[in-house]
Amino acid sequence: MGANPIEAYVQTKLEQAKETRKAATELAHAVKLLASAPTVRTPVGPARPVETTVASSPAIEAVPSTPKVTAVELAPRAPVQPKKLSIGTGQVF
Amino acid sequence: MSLQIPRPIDPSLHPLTTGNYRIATPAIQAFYELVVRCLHYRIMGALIYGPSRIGKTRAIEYVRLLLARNYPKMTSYHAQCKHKPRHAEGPFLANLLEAVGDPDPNAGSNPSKRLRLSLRIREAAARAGSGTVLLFCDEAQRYNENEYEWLRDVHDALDRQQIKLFTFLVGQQELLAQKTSLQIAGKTQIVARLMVEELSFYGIRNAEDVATCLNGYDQTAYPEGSEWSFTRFYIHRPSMPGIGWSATPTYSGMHSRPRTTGPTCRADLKFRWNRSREWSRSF
Repeated sequence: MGANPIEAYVQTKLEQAKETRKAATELAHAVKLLASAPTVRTPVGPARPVETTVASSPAIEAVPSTPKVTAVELAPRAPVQPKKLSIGTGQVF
Repeated sequence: MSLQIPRPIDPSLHPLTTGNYRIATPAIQAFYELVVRCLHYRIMGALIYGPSRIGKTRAIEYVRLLLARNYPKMTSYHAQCKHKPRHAEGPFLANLLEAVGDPDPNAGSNPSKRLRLSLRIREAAARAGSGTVLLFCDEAQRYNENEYEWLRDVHDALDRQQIKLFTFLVGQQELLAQKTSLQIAGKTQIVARLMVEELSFYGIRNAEDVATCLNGYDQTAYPEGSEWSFTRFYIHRPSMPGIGWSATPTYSGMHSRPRTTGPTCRADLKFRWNRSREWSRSF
């Protein structure tokens, strides 16, 4: 998961491009898109909920069940208090 | 905004509509404190630098308004440095003359412009009843060494007339680089006069800064002295369940709700106001 998925995709297509015309076309398309993409990295979003997968035991394997996913809710943030400024709060002119 | 509730003024005249208002921020407070410190310790010049579009020019306006209120005898000017392909003394002096309110800044030769500039500042200082004048030079990174020297000449000319000119150079980070290069070049006569103190200006950095700005909307009243805060004028009473407002709605209170993004501009307030109006209709 550490690798950049876009780079991984480009790398895969680069390897396949020697073999298939389709991969070469897709590689050319991806390179064209990447060339016009902004170079500045956008910041990642807030921390995602931690997903815990509970493995089902073999005894109840017969029952088709989806893996249990427990989403840990984001802790409620404490209200932020405004800072008291010595220059007043605003000016109207 | 419910139109049935009578308001002290017509909404079209409200500062939020006209734009004639400035909200205090922690960075503006730091700027103002720097100015007061310079006045107190007789530091004749300071530079304030920061990235573009974070409110430096608005900060100058706020500080000038506050100075006019707290130090009514002091005169302050706001000079907007312009981009010029060639740096000549005439346009430089004309720019300063424009800042001090000269009716015809481009008229006359350079010596006459210089004389007129001193005269205008001296007149204003005499009218205000104080020999202290503050000059805020915005976009000062556009100045080159010659312009700093000419500015120093203005300082010296006024100093001979018992007028103390405090200069605040406000601009982008290049200003700091200019100071360093002048120090390396041994131009201490400029640095020691115009660039003694320095302040790194900043925008909104964290949730506390956002809350502080939004609190400005909750606490600043118009008409002044009335109980009509900016927020109350537009959002008279809570119309959305779950916000937990008290009797007086607060804009910062809205922000402290979880997963509420931080509006920081007038346009966003209007957006919220529209939403509020819709909620009012639906309940």
